[in-house]
Amino acid sequence: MSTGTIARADVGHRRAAAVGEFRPATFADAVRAEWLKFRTMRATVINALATPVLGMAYAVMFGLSGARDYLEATPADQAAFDPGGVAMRSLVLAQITAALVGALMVTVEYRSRSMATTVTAVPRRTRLLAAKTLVVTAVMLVVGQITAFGTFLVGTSVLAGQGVPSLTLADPGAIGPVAGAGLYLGTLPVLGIAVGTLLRVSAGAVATLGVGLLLIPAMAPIYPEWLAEPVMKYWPTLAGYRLSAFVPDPDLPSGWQGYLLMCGFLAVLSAVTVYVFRRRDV
Amino acid sequence: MIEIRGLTKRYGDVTAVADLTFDVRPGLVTGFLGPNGAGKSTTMRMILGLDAPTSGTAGVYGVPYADLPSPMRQVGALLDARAGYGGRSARTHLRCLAAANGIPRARVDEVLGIVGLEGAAGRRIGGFSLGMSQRLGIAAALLGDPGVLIFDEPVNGLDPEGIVWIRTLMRDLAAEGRTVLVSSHLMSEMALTADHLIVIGRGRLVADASLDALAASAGTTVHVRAADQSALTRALTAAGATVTPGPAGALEVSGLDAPAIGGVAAARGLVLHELTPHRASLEETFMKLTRDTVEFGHQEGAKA
Repeated sequence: MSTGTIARADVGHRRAAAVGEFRPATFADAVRAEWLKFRTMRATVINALATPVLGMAYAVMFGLSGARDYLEATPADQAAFDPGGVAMRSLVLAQITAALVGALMVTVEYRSRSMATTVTAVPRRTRLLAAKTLVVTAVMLVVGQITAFGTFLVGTSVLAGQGVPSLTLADPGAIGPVAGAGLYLGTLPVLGIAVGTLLRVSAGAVATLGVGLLLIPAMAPIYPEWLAEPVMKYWPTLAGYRLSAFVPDPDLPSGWQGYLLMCGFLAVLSAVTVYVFRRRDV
Repeated sequence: MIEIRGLTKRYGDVTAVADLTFDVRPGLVTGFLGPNGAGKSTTMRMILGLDAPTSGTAGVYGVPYADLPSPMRQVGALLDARAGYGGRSARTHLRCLAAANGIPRARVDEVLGIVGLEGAAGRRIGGFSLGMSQRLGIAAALLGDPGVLIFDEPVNGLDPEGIVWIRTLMRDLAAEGRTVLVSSHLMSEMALTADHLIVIGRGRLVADASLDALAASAGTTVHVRAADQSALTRALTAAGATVTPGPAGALEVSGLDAPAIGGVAAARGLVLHELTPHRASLEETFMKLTRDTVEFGHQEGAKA
């Protein structure tokens, strides 16, 4: 450990040299900091990696069970078989980790009590949230595409291996839904950032994302008609998820309409989040 | 450099900071002193824009903190030494902060050297002792080589060598013309470090004076012991003095000096056993200033 004399020698003399010229801190600085933080946090990295792993691993399970169902189905049901949909079914799980990456970007800072330090370094809070959103979305747009294409390839290979109808990327109309699924996954961290910022705790964010992404849409079939229909049509993430549909349901808004609906919802939610985060004591 | 004007923070019915007004000037170490719960940290958080005041303003360089163009190059702060993602190394932790204000990486190793953590630069900060965390927090504050430094209880958890080190560091920073605001609940610590003192109690300003002025203002009392203490108390009170129970059964008398007390006793034929003028220490002055404002103190002589 050093002593006071070392401190005397070192502080102050290097103002211009080591600290760099005085210039205003920029949005790009905040983005660089958030990128470095993202890379050096275990929770964010693990969940980003878990997204394609989960998608591809469960694509095997869904592929095998889908093939069994096909072989046991009536000819009419076999005719309606949607191999692309079966191959990509595991994305209902991957979407949780994808959204969670965004939430953890914020909640880990609260848990480690470093949010105050972060806000002291970047006191413009809208800039801070924007930097976090940009970093995590950019990463997850790439991860989302890797997940979508990897899941499709694994799922369709399993189906083909079981000798049931399958698809390849070369089939007409296959690439659109796969890329759409990747885009959907890459958009979800925006939801995560909002939920993480509003709730501030990881556990609450996990629960909320699980209910919003999985529970409410999955339970739609048991809701009464007046509730089931709006949920099926307009629940924001369910609407966005339809971007990955290989066989669009003519009764529902199209994939792009659904995705735009989700983006509109996320824009409103993000505006609320910024408003709350700016006004709240850290 | 720091201007506090009518700063107030209320949480529901609880007033944490009440109408504070003071300046913190460059070239001095300003001690920010008060008992636990007096509102020191809340005030510092409002200076840094972390908490919004209910009313009033806290300005740094004449503007709200959030409006500073390059905050870390202008203000360095240590609020919570334990803050920080435990899985990062000290060097990475500081690099994250440096990046946020475009501070070159070379400065990270430099501040690690200044605080004596160069040997621990690669270690996970989750495993740091409180003393090492304090040093890391100080390194973070120094990253941008700022002209204003704010330290909340920086000596907490430091060993005696570390306490001497930070005392010297703060004095050096002030000697270089920087504005240094240091909070503490220990007058004894501030007496050794600070040039100027801001004392608050229950969120209210109690004193804003140089250390010398505060020491000079410390009143003189006289410790008196007599054969018949209650008779003497009556006599002295009648003569205009204030008499309170003092240490070890003595009476603590203020308002009359020792010769006058002796005169009163002689006139009534009262026998004195002790008559000692006593100059209050800074510690006692601090206790006296904040006695009425202590949130969770032992109230001496309080009757149920």
